[in-house]
Amino acid sequence: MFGYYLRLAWQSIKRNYIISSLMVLALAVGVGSFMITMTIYYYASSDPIPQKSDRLYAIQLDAGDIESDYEVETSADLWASLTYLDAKNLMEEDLPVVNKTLHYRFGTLVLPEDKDIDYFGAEVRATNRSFFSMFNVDFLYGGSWSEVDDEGKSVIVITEEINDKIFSGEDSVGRTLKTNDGDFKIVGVIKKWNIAMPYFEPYPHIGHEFAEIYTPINTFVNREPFSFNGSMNCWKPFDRGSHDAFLQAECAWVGFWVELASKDDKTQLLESLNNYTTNQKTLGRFQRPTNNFATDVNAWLKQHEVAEGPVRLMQSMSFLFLLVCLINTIGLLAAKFIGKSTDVSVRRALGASKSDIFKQNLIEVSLIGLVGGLFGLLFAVVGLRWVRELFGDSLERFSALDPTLIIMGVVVAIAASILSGIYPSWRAASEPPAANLKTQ
Amino acid sequence: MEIRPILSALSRTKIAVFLIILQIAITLAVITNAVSIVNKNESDMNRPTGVDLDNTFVVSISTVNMESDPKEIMLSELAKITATSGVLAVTPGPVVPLSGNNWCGGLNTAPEGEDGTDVHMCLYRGDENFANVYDFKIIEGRNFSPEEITYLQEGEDKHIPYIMVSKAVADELFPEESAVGKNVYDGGDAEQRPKIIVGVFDQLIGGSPQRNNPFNMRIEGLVGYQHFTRYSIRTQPGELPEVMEKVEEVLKQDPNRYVSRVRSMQEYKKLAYETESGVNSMLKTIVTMLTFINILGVVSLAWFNVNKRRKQIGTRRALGARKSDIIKYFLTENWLITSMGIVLGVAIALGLNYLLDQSLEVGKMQPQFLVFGAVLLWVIGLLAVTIPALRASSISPATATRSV
Repeated sequence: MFGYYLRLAWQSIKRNYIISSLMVLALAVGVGSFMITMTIYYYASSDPIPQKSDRLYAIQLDAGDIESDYEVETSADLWASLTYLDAKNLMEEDLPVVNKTLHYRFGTLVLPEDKDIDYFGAEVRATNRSFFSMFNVDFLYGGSWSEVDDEGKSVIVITEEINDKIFSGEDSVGRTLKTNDGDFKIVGVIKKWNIAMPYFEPYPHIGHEFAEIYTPINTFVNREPFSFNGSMNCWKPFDRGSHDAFLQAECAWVGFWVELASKDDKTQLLESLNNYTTNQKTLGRFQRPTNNFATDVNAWLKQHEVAEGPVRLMQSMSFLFLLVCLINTIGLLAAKFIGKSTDVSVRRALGASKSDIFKQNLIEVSLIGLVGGLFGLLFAVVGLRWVRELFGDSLERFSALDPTLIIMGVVVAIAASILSGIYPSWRAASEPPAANLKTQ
Repeated sequence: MEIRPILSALSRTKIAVFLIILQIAITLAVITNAVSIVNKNESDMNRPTGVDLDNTFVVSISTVNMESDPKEIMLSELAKITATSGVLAVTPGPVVPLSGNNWCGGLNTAPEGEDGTDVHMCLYRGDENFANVYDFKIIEGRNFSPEEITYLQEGEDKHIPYIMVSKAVADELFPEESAVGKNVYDGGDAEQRPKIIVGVFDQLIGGSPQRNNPFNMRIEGLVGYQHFTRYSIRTQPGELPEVMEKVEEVLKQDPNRYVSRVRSMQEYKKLAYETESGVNSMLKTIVTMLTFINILGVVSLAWFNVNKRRKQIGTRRALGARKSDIIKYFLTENWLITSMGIVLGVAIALGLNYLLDQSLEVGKMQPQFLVFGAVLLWVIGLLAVTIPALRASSISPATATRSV
């Protein structure tokens, strides 16, 4: 029976090919544009580390000036990094965590020894050895540096991209990378990041690039001239001519994360943080009310509204556009089915039941939906390329369709067309056959 | 034209009519909100920047051997750039307009511990040529004189006594009187040494135009001898491409220096507004496609109605209705449907605008966009219904007497 309905549907589509192709077109552009914005939203809002996103916490402390009149209700009201002093203290503090890391970024100039490769600027993340295990970073060659290296040795981990560029993809562990900041021994090569953005940044956003080089924080933090990329917020004057004074200063610029054994330990973690800031009060710091926060990965991304702004705007606009396309399809289908009501009446008179007619119409509608959905996907692939050109490289990691998205697109298209087909199919099936036949 | 019979005919196909009204309403809501956002973005992008966009470019440059003396390097590079033909002016400083980099800090009219007005702003640093490179006007006071510029070695800290502020900052700091000659204080300075405002300029856009108050700026008379720096360069009108090439070539001659970027201010501006112009292109595409889909909807509904009413139309013609009466009937019907859609649409548009403004701060909807959307939909509707209406009017009165 299904095959027969399919044949009937095909014939009906062929007979009204103009109206049928208009329906396919309307569905395709609707589904396509919705898919484009969904893809971007999907990448911006998806959990970057599902294995332990509920056990990784970003730490914020309110070390602000007693005279500042800002109010802190949620973690979003506070700057997203710590002072170097607090980050360093917390590294030594006995916290109820299995791992902790601190980090900041700066720029360097890479000087490849091979004269055929031009110098190039690279971004360096200064951190500790736990960074890689905490954020599940996969190594292609080698591994993280040792605890001894953490004290300030000239070692680095580089990305697959740099390794391809300078060492043509060979295992470069043990070799040296020259920069204008000195020579460094490579201890590891990490695989390409396959997440949307460095979510562990103090201020993550779409288009944020990943650092290309990783190095122990103690190797760089004491160097002069000191270099830093990112957001720095100072609230107390200090001697700007002295680097030591800067490292002790009330300036927030270091990212700090902890990994808990279980998310139930969060209360204990906050208690320890509160203990720490209470003790610091005796040193004349932390004069404001206690506002310490530990925020897990997904809440962190929410707090920084990475999937808000233009992403949300385009998503709501394209959803409304899809809605208009669907309503339009309902209208076109109604027109089409009414057009063949004589047909239906004859079949009804010959013994087809209402549900037979309904089923047959629905199959026709689903066929249109399937074709519309496939064209929609095609449209989305082309459209995503266009969107990537519009917004530049910042969307590079957001514009690939993965299987989940493709399946979602087809499901959206078919669901949409069936949804819009139910009413017209039912309308056509419930036309009284006698009335139509009488006028013949 | 009698409206009552049209309404009673429409009431026979309530759901179909409701759907088309809903379609028109959502279309109006999307179009008006899209136009409103596009308009806001464009007016942001087109506001004066204080930069001669067509004739200014920026070179970013760093050092290979960090042991070398940055002061010596910078002085020789400034001399080389100035000597290049086509260069009008050059100033060194790591932060440039529209680059996405910001250096910010407040100023107060009184030193710490005393009552004063505090104003938040961002800042640029440069020498006396800064005012020649950028295209702002000094509306009060004067530019820095060469001896007022502070020169800093790397890692050194010195007081910066001379600054210029934008009109926006001057008006906030000293609303009643002229800011020129006044002392102001930087909260980050432990010793609270006064800075003197030597001039007030009309406007210069900040590093990120999306920040609040992007025209709250000050310029500090300071040059830091640093390994990494940027040179902002203004060229003779129309000579930008050649000068960019020449300057790059001159700077590349030193093997100890690495030119990481040579970028025109137009390019900086394009990148600074990449999101806005991308959103605008997408919104314009959606508006175009929506218009098209809407025409499709109106035509199909009219076509459907004409076909369903062939007999009635024939009967009306047979009873004496002229062709123009039939056309008028369909045009009025369409106008009625569109109008109902527009009434509902204005409500949805305002609701959508409220939601978007709450979460994304797109600004309040201006009435003229609603008028524009309504007129557009009326015109589209009437144009789209014309062909089906003409076809209806050509139905022969004899149809009434035939049974097929």
